[in-house]
Amino acid sequence: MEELYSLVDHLSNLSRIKLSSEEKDLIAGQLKDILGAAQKVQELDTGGVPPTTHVFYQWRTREDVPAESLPVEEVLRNVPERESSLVRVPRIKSLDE
Amino acid sequence: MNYRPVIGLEIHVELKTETKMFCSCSAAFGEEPNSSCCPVCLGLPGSLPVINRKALELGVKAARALNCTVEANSRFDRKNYFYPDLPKAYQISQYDIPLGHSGYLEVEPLTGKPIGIQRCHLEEEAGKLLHHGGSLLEAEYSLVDYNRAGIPLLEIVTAPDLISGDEAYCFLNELRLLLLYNRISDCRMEEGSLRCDANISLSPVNSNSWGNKVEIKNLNSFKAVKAALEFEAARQEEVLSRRGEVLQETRHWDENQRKTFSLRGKEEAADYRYFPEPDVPPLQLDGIWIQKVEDSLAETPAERRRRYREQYGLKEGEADLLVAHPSLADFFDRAAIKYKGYRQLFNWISGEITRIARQKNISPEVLDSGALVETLQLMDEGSINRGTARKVLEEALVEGKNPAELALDKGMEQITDTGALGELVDEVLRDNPRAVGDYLEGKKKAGNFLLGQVMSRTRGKADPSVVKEILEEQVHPRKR
Repeated sequence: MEELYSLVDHLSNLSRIKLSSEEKDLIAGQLKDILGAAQKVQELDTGGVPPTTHVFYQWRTREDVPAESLPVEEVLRNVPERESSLVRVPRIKSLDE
Repeated sequence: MNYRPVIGLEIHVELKTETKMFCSCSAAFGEEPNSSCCPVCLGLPGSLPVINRKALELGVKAARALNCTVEANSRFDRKNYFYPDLPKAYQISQYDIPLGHSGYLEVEPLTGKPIGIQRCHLEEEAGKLLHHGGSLLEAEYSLVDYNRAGIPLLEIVTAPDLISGDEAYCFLNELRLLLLYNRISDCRMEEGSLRCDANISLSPVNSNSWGNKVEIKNLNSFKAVKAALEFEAARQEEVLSRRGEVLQETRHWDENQRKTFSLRGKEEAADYRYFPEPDVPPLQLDGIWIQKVEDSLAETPAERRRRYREQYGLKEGEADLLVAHPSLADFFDRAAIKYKGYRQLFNWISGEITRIARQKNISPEVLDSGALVETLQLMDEGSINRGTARKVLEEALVEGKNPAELALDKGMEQITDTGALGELVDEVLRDNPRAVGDYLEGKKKAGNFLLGQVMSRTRGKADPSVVKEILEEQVHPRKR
């Protein structure tokens, strides 16, 4: 159980989401079920099965020829803050802050 | 020193393509911010990335140039992280099956010690962040240009085979030349198309154990790499010598203070949640195609130096100088097909060609090697002297004119008719009896004066050595 809670803390840290202790209880319970289900699948003997990463293995490439990009106004249409044609983002904080 | 530095480098180079890695947006440098973006590189819903064949080709080329094994069934993976330079919140990269691995690079100055290449893989470039007001952590806010996001990038990771800042410097120079000659990247550090991070730890002499590894970032030139590694080796040794502990961390090189600084506080190992990129099917490279790419490799810088020394008889320093400047080396090769005075050719390329290229701001790449060859031939025939040759060459190169015509048009052609010269010499001798007398008494100055008189009457068009000969012949009979 303790392992499960440290995993919750790790995930909360990675996802930058603060959790209350009630929320931690809730997530720990759900995580246990999820991991249990994954564990169950892992019981299967897949030794002879090659790993499948994709549904389609048909790959293609394109020629290195430039085509029209979007107009700058279109690119910036949903941008909350801008400065001329640049996107303005809040300052980048270190993890300690 | 009781410790031996153990150094590895991680190099990122932008590949020399017209378009981005997975979409047809232009990869050109210096466009208006956010003007080379499309739904694919912005990660808008419903868009699908398609591999740029040229980028793949350059990746395979680099892998083979670095003697790596090319993985025919390599694939792309998704690296997730949140940072405003990534519009998609993930980067398409390669994780456990890189395009190339287990290679090496022979660096000529580090003889007998190939530097291992652990891997090289393809990925996409991130956007460019401009921090407003000071450095990364002091900035009030940041501005983002996504033009760069999605440009094909090759990451090259060396084995920890380097032992000093000097070695790292030599390695980077050789790697840069290898990439330049193969036209894989233009390697412009000032435009960010080549970047380097360095890892360094200290290992006690006579021991195989390694100390904690420090990663150095913000290295903006090869010289900075060298200086930062030297600083860091000394810093770590000092920490260890007072029985302290070197923290495993990322440090930032400050070019002005010439020191490294701890960049981040306590940080958990990043968790990028890599998984196979679902939008890009795995590669299935054809063996024949890989071979074809390999066959297109240029000779290595080391082979080229050897060729200049052995085939053209250049000295070591001369060969090094040419090879260090690909556009001059290519110019030399073009000219050497038609002109066999290789040392002469080298001297004119390292002298006049370099000067003209610099002064007129023209790349030697576009200068006509034929103009130099013809000019040198005119000079060798004795039609023009060295000074005239310089003028002819410059005009021929800059104006695109024919050297032989220039020599004629400008009346630059040297007077080689000894009969005509003889008459002029006669005149001068008649007009300057005192100087002749002095000369016959052995006064060198008088001889130079007479020579100058003849040269000025030809308006500099005579070959001074020929004039001198005629002077001697005509003065001495008078003595008898």
